[in-house]
Amino acid sequence: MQYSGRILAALAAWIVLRCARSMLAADDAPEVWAYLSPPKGERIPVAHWECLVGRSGGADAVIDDPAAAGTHALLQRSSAGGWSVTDLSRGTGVLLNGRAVEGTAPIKSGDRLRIGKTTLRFTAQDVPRRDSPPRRRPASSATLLLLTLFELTLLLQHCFTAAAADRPGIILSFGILASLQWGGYFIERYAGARGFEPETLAFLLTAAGFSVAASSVPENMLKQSALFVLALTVFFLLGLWLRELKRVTALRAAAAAAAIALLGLTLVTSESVMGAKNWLTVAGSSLQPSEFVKIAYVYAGAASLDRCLQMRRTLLFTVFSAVCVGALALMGDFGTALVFFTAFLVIVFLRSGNPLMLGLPLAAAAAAVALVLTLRPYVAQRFASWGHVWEDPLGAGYQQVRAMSALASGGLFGRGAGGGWLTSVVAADTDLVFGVVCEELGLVTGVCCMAGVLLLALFAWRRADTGRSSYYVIAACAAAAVFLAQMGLNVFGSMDLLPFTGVTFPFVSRGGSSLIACWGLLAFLKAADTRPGGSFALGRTVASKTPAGGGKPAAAKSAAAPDAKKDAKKPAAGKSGRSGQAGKRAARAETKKKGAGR
Amino acid sequence: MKRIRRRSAVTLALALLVLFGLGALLARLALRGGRWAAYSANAHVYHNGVLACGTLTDRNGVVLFSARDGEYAYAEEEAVRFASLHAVGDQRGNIGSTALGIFSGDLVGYSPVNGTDGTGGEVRLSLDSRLQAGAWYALNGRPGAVVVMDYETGEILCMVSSPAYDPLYGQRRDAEGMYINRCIGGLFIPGSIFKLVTLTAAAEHIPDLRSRTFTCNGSLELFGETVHCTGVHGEQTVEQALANSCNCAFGSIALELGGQVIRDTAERLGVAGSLPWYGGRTASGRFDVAARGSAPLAWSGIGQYNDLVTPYAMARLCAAVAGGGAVREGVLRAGDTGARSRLMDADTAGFIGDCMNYNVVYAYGKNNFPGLDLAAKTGTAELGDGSTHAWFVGYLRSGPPLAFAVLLEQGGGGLIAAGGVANHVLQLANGYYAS
Repeated sequence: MQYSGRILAALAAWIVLRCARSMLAADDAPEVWAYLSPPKGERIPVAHWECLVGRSGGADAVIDDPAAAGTHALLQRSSAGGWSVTDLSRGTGVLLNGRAVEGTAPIKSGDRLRIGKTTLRFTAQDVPRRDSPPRRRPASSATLLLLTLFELTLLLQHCFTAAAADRPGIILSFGILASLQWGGYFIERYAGARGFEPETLAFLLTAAGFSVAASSVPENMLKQSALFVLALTVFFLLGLWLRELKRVTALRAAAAAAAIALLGLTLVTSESVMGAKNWLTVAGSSLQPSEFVKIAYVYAGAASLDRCLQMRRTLLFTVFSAVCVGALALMGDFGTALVFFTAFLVIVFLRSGNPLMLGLPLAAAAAAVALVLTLRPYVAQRFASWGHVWEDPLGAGYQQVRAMSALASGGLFGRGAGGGWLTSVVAADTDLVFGVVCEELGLVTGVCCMAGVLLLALFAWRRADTGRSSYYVIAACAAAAVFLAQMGLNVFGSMDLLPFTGVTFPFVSRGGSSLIACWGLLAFLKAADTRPGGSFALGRTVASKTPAGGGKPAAAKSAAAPDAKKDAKKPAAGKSGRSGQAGKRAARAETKKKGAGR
Repeated sequence: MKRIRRRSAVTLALALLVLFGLGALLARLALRGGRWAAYSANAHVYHNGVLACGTLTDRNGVVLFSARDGEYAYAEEEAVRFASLHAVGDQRGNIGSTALGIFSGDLVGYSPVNGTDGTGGEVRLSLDSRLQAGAWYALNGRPGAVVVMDYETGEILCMVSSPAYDPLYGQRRDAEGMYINRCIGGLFIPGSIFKLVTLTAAAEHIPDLRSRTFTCNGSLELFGETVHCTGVHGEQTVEQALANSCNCAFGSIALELGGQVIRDTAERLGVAGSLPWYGGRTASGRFDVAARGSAPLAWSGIGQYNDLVTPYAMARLCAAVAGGGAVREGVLRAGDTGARSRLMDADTAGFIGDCMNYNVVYAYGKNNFPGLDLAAKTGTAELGDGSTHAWFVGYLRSGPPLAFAVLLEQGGGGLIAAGGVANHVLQLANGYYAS
């Protein structure tokens, strides 16, 4: 037992490092969905489902033509495969096969597009192409093995400290956790998706959360496991749902309506718990609806490029956000309100790119904060004790002082899972969870948990380069912003670097609603991951038909894509991370189709 | 998409902000982790708010307190246990400002790598258990206090407060103020030892003080009130007046100086007001300014009226005289050196020191303190009910650099009662530290 803390720290650090190496490695070549060929010079690849064409450097397809507008036209692919072109020139116009485009018009391979004085031939790819073979990444299964060892070490420590009556529940729940992570891994692998690092990190954080729960409420471990099953289900279902952008965007308004309805319902019916009126009791178990609203909020807030260009829609989103944040403030859940506000700022900035669009909400928020501080004195009190918690260790600083003391007492390797005392303090397993993790599992593991969340955020940022639609990019960045804001407020609030607002640490804090919300938000990250053979949440075009998957299907398409032959000869197939399974299955599918044709 | 991609750097910025916060947290942990871990809620090292690990020894390595996993041990010698109760503290945590509390940061044994694993740390105190025991025996159960400090470093070698109980068994009998460390937390009427303060003020404000003579007729009449003297001393120099502890002479000096001057001096010398003591403060000494020309003013100048002092403040004052006007603040850890404060100029300190030595040579009798080169002042403070506090404060002019204050509550005459205790402890110290 003496060295188990060191083993735990080493495993956590190793897992995070392996994931970091894989997630932050140099990008693979982007998916190319279409080409625009000018009469002279090189053809311009269209690497996303949304492509701005124009003269300015900010356009995705830049044409060197003084007659073209800065952003002249928008090319957009629907998830069904059809393309459309929208005139954004405000005057000069876009000619499609010689005819002026009014608003938006469908466009297909071989069509000629005249922008300014340049004529471009449009060639769509049925299958996205990559100009280089996929890179090798560290094997997810090995990382997962490390994670299993990590969980086993945690379990051993708990068996050492837990009461005999609680041991079976703890063992069973860790067993469920480990089997679900392997189950999830094999299912995804079978579906041809091998980019399991975001899930691995989330499982690492969830394991730390399980450990906290086992220390704090060991008798409730089965409930925790059940909620985790639910969270994982939400993750996979949402990930699958996000594959098709069309159906996703169709339900955005519904998601917004659901968010407002849920918040309204909470506001009307909920009981006040510790000054915050944000709990709802349904069928004997209590829920925190504001957690689910996070998913709906990100879902409704993200937008494809055509919508980003419409200021009216961004304004509408601002109003929607004001309602959400306002409702949370009315509930007294200021921490969550702040999390939403952060997500709002990120979304609006991504959508508009206009700092002015942020100015007004910021001013309004400042006014609201001033109002809250006058109307709700206990919030002002929290701010008053901020930075001075050691002057009032038995009053306003009670929780923070203890969290800091516990953190320090754990050292680098912790006092052992279940061997801490901080769990006896109110809200230790939610608001002070960083203190519990550091006390019991050590500072190294605690920092690894933070690094895990940071990595998820960096991953979202990196995936913005290659995201298919701005919807996915914005959603991933917004989800990352929620994670970061929550973690920042949780850790720095409990450590007196920020006011103590009582929000949860993503994946780690105990609580079913929070866990479900976090796994749900993780699905948005998966949907932005376009690495070859990376994510199950990408549309099937990639899951079954990329040219990297094998020679045959690409060769079969050679008639449609004149350059595909060249690609098919590239040595990508067979060697890469995303080699056999999916490619073979795709090939099988092709053969079947051919057979049916005959 | 290129635009969205550029804007997505906002996520990176947010992540960097969190990373910056993490850096700030780790920096704070590196700076203050020890203090955080030493907080009494840390159940790995405290049981019910009392330190449950660590070792305190005296300056020679004699264990005064040790704890491991909630098992407590104290000094082997019973007298040392009693004598060190207030300076060291015990597992019950009823006494304030003890070494146990002061050095908890070191005793919890915090290390940034291992946190607080319950092994505990060790602190060597400046106390000498032999002097502690000696003082305890000399007090012989009488309520009182003994402070001995090294005036070159500020190290406190002896800090005994009586009554006390055996920390091994806990309190068994009720005694008033059992939980108070009288050395730093007790306030007592000073009586004649306060004349050192009045003399300091006079030396600084009356230019011809040393050439003056004072006439004592046995009492001083002021607005119908009489200030009695201990005898009829006739005509005397200020040295002789101090040696006689003449109330008439010092009463009239007080009248001449005025209350405010004496008060300012008392505050500067640390006798009035409180002194810093390891993050806290000692009990606050008192000097009330009485009306000009009144009997209370005369009384206040000779350590009666509303005057109150702590034994530590008086030992510190003597240490300042010994140190040429500058003092090292008291410290409890062996090898530490207290911060230096100047209380008076060297000339004044030399004069006061000479007067205090004159006391011993011409009034107290060198034979009562064989082998000691002593400068001192007695005090017999009247409590108004016929009883008196016995005081003896001073320092060694040669030999080990020690300043001291001894108080016996309602203990009788200063020289006989308190002087005897002081002599006993100083003889021991002189023997141990002769070289």
